[in-house]
This record gives sequence, C-alpha cells and structure tokens, in this order.
Amino acid sequence: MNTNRSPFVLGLAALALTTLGMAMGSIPGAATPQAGTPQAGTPDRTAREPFACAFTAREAGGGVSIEARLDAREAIAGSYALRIRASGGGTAIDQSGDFSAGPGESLVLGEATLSGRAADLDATLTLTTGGRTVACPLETI
Amino acid sequence: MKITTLFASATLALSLALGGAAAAEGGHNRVTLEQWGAHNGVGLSQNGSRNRLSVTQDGWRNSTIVTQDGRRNQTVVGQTGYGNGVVASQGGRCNILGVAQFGSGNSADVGQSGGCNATAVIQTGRSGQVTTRQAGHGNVAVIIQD
Repeated sequence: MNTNRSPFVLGLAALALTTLGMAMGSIPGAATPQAGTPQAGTPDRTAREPFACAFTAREAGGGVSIEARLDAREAIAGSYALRIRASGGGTAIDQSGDFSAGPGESLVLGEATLSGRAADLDATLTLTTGGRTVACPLETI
Repeated sequence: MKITTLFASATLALSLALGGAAAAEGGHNRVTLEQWGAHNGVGLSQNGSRNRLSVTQDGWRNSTIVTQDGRRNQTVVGQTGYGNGVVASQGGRCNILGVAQFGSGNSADVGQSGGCNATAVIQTGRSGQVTTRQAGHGNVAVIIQD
C-alpha cells in the first residue's frame, strides 16, 4: 500500500470535498420531492401527509450519494431520523433532529456519500410529525 | 452540556495517559500538531467558535481525540501507519471535520450536533470502520473507503 501521500494534504482534500458539498447545497440532478413516486409496487405513504419526502440514492464514480429531503405542503414541524448501514458492518451514519417548514418550503434534512453501491447499503428515513411516524421509501436513481 | 464537559475531561485525562494534550478556550484559536513515529497519542479540546485544529500523525500507534465546543470550528486529522484511531466530537452548528487515515487499524468515530455540520472521512488499507452521528438538519457526511 502506498503511504507516501501526505495525510494532512488528503485530510485537507476531505475538508475541501465536504466544503464543496456544503457550498453546492445539494446533489446536482437529484430528484425533486414527489409525493406519489415511491418504488414500483410500494404504496405511497406520504400522499395524504402534509409533506412529501424525497429519499434518493444516486450512484456515481464508485460511490453512492444519499439525500433526504422534505417538501412541505403546509406548515409542519417534527423530527427525522436517517440511518445508513453498509453491508458487512463497519460504516454507520446516523443523522437526526428536529425540523420545521412553511408551506411550499423544501428542506434538505441530511446528505451522505459513501463508497460502494446502493444495493450494499441499508438506509432508512423516518419522519415523525403530529405524533405519527412515516417511513419514506428509498428511490435509487 | 454536562456530558460534553465530562467527555472533554475524560478525553484530556486519556490524552495525558497517551501522551500529548492541548486545550484552548475563547474561540478563534488555531492549533497545529504533528507527530512522527512511535506511540503517538494527543487529545485536544477547544472551546468557543471558529477554532481550527490540524493533527498529523505519521507512524505507529496513532490515535487522536478531539472535542470542540461552539460553532464553525474546523478540524483536519491525517494519520498514516499502524494503530490509527480518532474520536471527535463537535458541538454547535456548522462545524467541519476532515479525517484521512491510511494503513492498518483505522476507525474514526465522529460526532457533531446542531445541524449544518459536515464530516468527511477517507480510509484506505486494512480495518476501516467509521461511525458518525449528526444531529440537527442540513448535515453532510462523506465516507470514502478503499
């Protein structure tokens, strides 16, 4: 294995990568939140909710980018939990917290990019609002 | 906040045992630390906002423990060689953490809370493993493993 690369430089590269991701705000070309477009055969669990969620996995360059977005139809507040596990153990990402959104507002709840393929990940997104918890279906693009 | 304080105390205590410790308060602090060879260690704690920390550990047992409190802090950790490690924890919003680990044990257990935070971890060679926990919304995590 080549260990001649400066870890500091590569750490900076990681930092730059992250900063760039934040500056971009969201993944280019990511799907627009849609209420009625879960995977084929999967019932849309958010069609009657005051929001739509877009939970997408996009494969590119040997990695997969996951984005969790919320599109509010009316003013709502609640919490979300994004859980990602890579098959074979090891990598785990948990993002969670509260949110509030006004009518027509879209929120990026969380983003994650990992090495590998979408099929190798176990990813779930749940939204809790008004005392109810809704699981958003993952759509692979 | 009690937990944060306890954690900071624990990390400092651990760092003293490992070898090397640093603490900075008040914000806008910059700490650069390089370790080359042998047992390595380090444990840091920064308080306030807009602190910057960089740690380079090259060779052997490595490890690093970081705690930053406040917002808009930045940390970069680079490790090569054997044991690797890194545990980090950032509080507040819009913090950034970059970790690069090359060779052997790897691992990294990040943290971050408050939203708008970003974490990037690059690992190559051997055992890998990453765990991140981000609270709030608008967080970004990038994990690259080879």
